[in-house]
Amino acid sequence: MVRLRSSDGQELEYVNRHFSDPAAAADPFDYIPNFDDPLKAFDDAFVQVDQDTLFDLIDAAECLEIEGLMDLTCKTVADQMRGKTIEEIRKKFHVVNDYTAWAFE
Amino acid sequence: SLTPPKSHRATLMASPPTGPAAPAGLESMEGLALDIIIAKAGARPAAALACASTHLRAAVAEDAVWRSFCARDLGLDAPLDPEDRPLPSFKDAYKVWSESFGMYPLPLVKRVKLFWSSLKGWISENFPEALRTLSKGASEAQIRSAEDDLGFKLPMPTKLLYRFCNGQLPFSKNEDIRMAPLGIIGGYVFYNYNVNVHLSSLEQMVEETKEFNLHLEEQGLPIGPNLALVASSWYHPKTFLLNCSSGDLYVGTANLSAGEMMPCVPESLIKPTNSDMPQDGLLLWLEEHLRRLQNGMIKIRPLSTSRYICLYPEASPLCSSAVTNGVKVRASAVFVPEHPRRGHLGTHLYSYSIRLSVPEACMLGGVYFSSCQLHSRHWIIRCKDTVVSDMHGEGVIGEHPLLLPGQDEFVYESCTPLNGSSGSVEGSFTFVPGRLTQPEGKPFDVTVAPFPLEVPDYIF
Repeated sequence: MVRLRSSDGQELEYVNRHFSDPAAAADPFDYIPNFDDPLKAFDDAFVQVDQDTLFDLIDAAECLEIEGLMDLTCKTVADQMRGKTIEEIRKKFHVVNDYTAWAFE
Repeated sequence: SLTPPKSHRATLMASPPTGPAAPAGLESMEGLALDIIIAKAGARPAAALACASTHLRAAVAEDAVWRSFCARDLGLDAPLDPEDRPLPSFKDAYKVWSESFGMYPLPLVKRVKLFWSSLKGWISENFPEALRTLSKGASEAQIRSAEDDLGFKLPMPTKLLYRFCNGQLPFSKNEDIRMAPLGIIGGYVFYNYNVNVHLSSLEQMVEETKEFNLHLEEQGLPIGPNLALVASSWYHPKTFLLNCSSGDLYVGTANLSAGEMMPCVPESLIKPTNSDMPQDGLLLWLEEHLRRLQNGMIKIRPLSTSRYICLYPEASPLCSSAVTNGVKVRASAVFVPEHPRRGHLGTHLYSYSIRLSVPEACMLGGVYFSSCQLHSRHWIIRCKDTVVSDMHGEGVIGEHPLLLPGQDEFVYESCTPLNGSSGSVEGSFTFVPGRLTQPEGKPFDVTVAPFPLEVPDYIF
């Protein structure tokens, strides 16, 4: 069972909002709004969260197979990676550099 | 589809939270979500991720990741190097292409690569004899050397064009007769005036540019902007010049020796300094030419025992078509900027091509005829909408073509000057059913529907 830490409410809200929009509801699992769609503003705000929550949302989207949410959350993470050096990526995403340890094993 | 393979889902569902909460995030992420993030981030971040930890490195090493980057960033759908040699993986391919072309913005690399592969594809299918005239790509070193010789830099899109193909084989005394009609830009033939434009190699560009500048100097004319001679005609001279500072492409008029030339690509499209997708006149011109080849606006035509790319338009609106009593006439014109003009400035020369045929049958008043023969013509030429010439004449180019049903078109070319920038030609032919020497019925008129005489926005 995947536990959603702080985002039960948040993730449910995504599904409600997308289901209540006629265009999105027509294809709820695959709908991705255009840049001038008011739903886009909602989506942009939806992913303005801390990293832990963002990754929880990814997990939830994957389990529940909500493609639109998966796309949105993964893209947010991907955008955060661009232009960063290796060290900056490690810092931002709390990646442990296990290369040095491995070299000594 | 985003349905993850069973193994991924099983991992996600089956692993219970153990001990203190594992750091949520990239390190604990696996499978589908991580693949999607990597795909969306792109090749550069992927390469950085591969160095961040061993776990991320494994995720990035999947060749599927690099297959998708190759397709998206380079338009590459098989692991091949820039010379079409196979490589062991898409990851290797991406690396090799990045090393070879990384000094250019990748969207432009993809665009130029697509142009050359599409053009070569068209040539393989329709004009294979010309394929061997296309040289392999020039190296960065060759380009730098050419720039040093020229004394100025080539625009980025042009450099990339030459990286993929160093133009066509140059004029050589041994081969000239056979290679002359193989210009990939092509041309036209009317009376004894024959033009066929080839794309120059860097070496030819340097040589001809130097000659041109020397010639200007000798006449005491200023050399002016950084002009490179990029394409030229075998047979009668016709030259295309690229302004390497502004990116504009020009065609020399008959007064090129005095520096006179005309733009041959719409200036508004030239964007030499755009950072993501610079475009110069040469790239735009070549892409437009390829479009016309692909949509059949221009075609291959026979030329005595060989073939060439012929520039007379084949489709409407530039080519008119009319059928009268079963006799079909198609007609279109090309603008000939380099032809020595009779008369003053503002006179343009146009050459037109008229195609006559009887596709099914020649019928007049319910009676079928086995043939019909052209007796005379009536030709009306307009400048803007004013009639400037209205004349009758015997035959066409001294001939009286005899048309039989189902035969190939009888094609002839002629030309006309025009005192102004645009106009049109129309008229009719008087045909006799049967033959002139043995008429089988009354003469009848066949329409030549109006076709335009215009300076086009792209001049080839």
